[in-house]
Amino acid sequence: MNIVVCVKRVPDTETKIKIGGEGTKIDPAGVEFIISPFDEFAVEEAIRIKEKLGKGEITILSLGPADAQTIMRKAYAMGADKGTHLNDATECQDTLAEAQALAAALKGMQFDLLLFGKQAVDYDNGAVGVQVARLLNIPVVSRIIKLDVADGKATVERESDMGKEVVEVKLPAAFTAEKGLNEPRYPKLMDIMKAKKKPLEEKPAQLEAPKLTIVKMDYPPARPPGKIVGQGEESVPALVNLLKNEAKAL
Amino acid sequence: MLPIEGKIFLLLLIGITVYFFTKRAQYLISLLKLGKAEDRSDNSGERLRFTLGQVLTQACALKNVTGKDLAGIGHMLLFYGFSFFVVSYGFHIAEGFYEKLNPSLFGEAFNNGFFFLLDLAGLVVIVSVIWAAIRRYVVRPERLVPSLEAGIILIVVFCLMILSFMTEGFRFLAEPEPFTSGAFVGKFFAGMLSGMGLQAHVHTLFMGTWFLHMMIVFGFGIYILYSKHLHVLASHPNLYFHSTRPKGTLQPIKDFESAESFGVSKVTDFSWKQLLDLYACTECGMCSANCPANNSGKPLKPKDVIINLKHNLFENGNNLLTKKEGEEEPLIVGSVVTHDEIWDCTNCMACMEVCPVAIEHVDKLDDMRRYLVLMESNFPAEVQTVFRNMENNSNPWGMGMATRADWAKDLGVKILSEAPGEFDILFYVGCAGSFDDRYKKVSRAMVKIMQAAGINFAILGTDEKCCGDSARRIGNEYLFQTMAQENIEIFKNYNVKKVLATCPHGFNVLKKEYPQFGAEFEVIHHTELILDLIKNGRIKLKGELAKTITLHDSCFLGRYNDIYQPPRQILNSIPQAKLVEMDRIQKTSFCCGAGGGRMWMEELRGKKINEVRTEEALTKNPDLIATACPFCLTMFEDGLKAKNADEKVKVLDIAEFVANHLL
Repeated sequence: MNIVVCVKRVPDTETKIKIGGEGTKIDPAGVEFIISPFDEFAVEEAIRIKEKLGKGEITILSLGPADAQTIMRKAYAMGADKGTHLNDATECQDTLAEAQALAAALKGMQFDLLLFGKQAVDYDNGAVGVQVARLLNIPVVSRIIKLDVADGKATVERESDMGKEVVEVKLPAAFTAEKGLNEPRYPKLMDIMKAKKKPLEEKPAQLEAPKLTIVKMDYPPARPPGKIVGQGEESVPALVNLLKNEAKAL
Repeated sequence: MLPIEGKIFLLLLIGITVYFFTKRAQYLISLLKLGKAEDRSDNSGERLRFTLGQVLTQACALKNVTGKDLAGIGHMLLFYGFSFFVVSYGFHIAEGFYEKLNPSLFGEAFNNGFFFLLDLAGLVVIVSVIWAAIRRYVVRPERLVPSLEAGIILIVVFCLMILSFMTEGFRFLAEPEPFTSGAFVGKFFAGMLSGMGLQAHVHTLFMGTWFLHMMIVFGFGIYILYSKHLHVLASHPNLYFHSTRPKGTLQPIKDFESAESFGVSKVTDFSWKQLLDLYACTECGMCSANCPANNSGKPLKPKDVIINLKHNLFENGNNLLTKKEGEEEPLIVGSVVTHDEIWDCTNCMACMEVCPVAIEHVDKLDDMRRYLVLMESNFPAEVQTVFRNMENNSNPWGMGMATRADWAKDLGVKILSEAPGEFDILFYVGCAGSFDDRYKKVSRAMVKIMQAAGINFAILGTDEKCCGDSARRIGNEYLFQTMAQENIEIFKNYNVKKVLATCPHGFNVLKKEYPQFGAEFEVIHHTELILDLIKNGRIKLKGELAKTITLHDSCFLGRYNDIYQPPRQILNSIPQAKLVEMDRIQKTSFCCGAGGGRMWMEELRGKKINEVRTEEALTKNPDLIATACPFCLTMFEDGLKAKNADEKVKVLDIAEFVANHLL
């Protein structure tokens, strides 16, 4: 079983985002970059499938700037075998262009499973996985919480507001991982050491001119400070008045 | 004195004893050699002084004597008494071969004095043995588990003493000239025995009791090596090879790149000294009696860890010695020492502080943690988040690292990451001081104090990183060393000479464990600094605090760094403050439950340690509880909430007491 997992380098979720790059990009200074948490579920799932089957190869594919390799090594430490880094110094923000670049790289690869996180937690578009599957013309099931592979088929579960769906799909197929799929492991030190020596191929990302560009980023407006209206019963009317007329909550 | 047949028999006895003693000793040493190498050859002078000091003055046993536990005095009596007998056996054997080799060789006065003291020692030993038996089989303190071995040894020692007196008695009757006038108990026995109509056989009886006596002595000499009384011989080398590293420091893993395994999973992963610890254990149970895990009903009992490891080593000893290359060795982690035991430890070091024979319990448990974390990635689930948080945001809470210095906004503090400048003291705020809402108040209090004293200090701001203590104590030595090296680099870049820490965990690790990685700066704790400021008159305290305060000693400040007095002296310098001590303080203070990374783990077994300690504090009816550690502070606040006492009793850090009373 050959599995390819696409991972993206994103700012840590606790990062205090600063806008840089002429107001259209995140300023990377002082930002800790991590594997997007949903992508980590995908990596973990790939490793579990390989462990369960006792064979297979896991390839990591990541599109991003040079330091995307740091998070690729983290996926290696978890148990992935090798990978390709599609270098993109421009930090493209057009999901379709990214999907095309990834699909171009994937066309040369043999795989049964193609895994993504359901979305990268930087721009939260949630589009790339599905777009890549479409470009490769393979089936895709998004936001899965369970994945079983047998006899050239995958049986997956996904949750929706209506309840739970169980989907059977022929391989090769693509899946995007939702929280709940698994609990990613903490790598063993031996594996961290081994990860440093696993092969990592680097090539430029074949990005077409983006059809979508971010024109301007802005911070959310500062929240007005809290107010103490008063104390005791006599302040209730004033509070009601403020809730009605100022906050428009009543 | 002895006829030729007797001399031959004595020689035979000695030969047999030497043979079995040597055989067993060689076996014990060959087991030690299975352990990993560890250099403990440094400071031989200091080591010898320490050992003799502990043994000859019996400080090893006497240090644990309290009003409630006098056993150490019993040990001292038994030790001195029996040691005298050991000397006498030398004379006995010498005299057996050549009759002039006896104490009278050194004159009549010496001879009489010697036998007087010997008889006195015999009485002392008898009294101590009876005392020990009553303790074990009647009083039964919790820390002692009555064992067959202990019973055998007490009976044998008792019999030896009686036989010794009988031998003396028969000798008085058998020899025309009394061999001494000093043996007063022997004389008493002679009187008793002479009335029994044995006159015709006194010489035979003297020889008989003499040989029986010697046979038991020799037999005892061999038995020691097979029993828990191995400590009689092993405790001396164990004291000699005690750790001379700064107190409580863990040893670094030196080579991550080429090592094939990390930590301890098999008994031979321990160093020879860690194995010698097992031999040295006296099974006194002081470690378990002082262990917060054991005292809160958890599986961990440090004594049992040591004894179980010892028994396991002896059970597998032969297999281990004959094991062929490549053969698997049984795991001790998860079987001999369970995961629960390994994770229960708070690293409070109470066990090691009270251990009379310098056993290193914490190192062993932390080595097994290293195995579980680094080799197996097997640890309480909640810890994974902590590791991730430390990796990604350099604090266990996982708060955004850009907000690290937000607490210091508007305080006029020099923040080096924003504007480098000159400073005398670097205030290493630590994660709790930076991110924990409650402990941020302590950071602010410290700023207020230093500003009042006119100290030129600075903080690193967002360049400050987590100290890594929790990672190290949980067993993630790799993560810890990454963080330590990063911090040392930052400190070097800012040319830091002197560091102030409020959190005792940061204080301890910066001061004593960072030098393992090349750190060269002075580190002080805020209680030390504040006391200096008060003494030098650089700050003055005003107002009155007519309250009852009880003080909790933080393990990493107290036992790890022997800082017991500064917090007390500071509290006593606040007018009218009344300090009431808890029952367990200073060296035997009871942990809050948060050390050793336990701060970040669920406490699923037994009672909650912080509640046990809070209950103890509440028996003193305090208005305030004083601490000098963010973890202790949290644990007490939680404890007070659990006991519904948080309205009545408040917890304050020493810095807050002072900041509230600045002139």
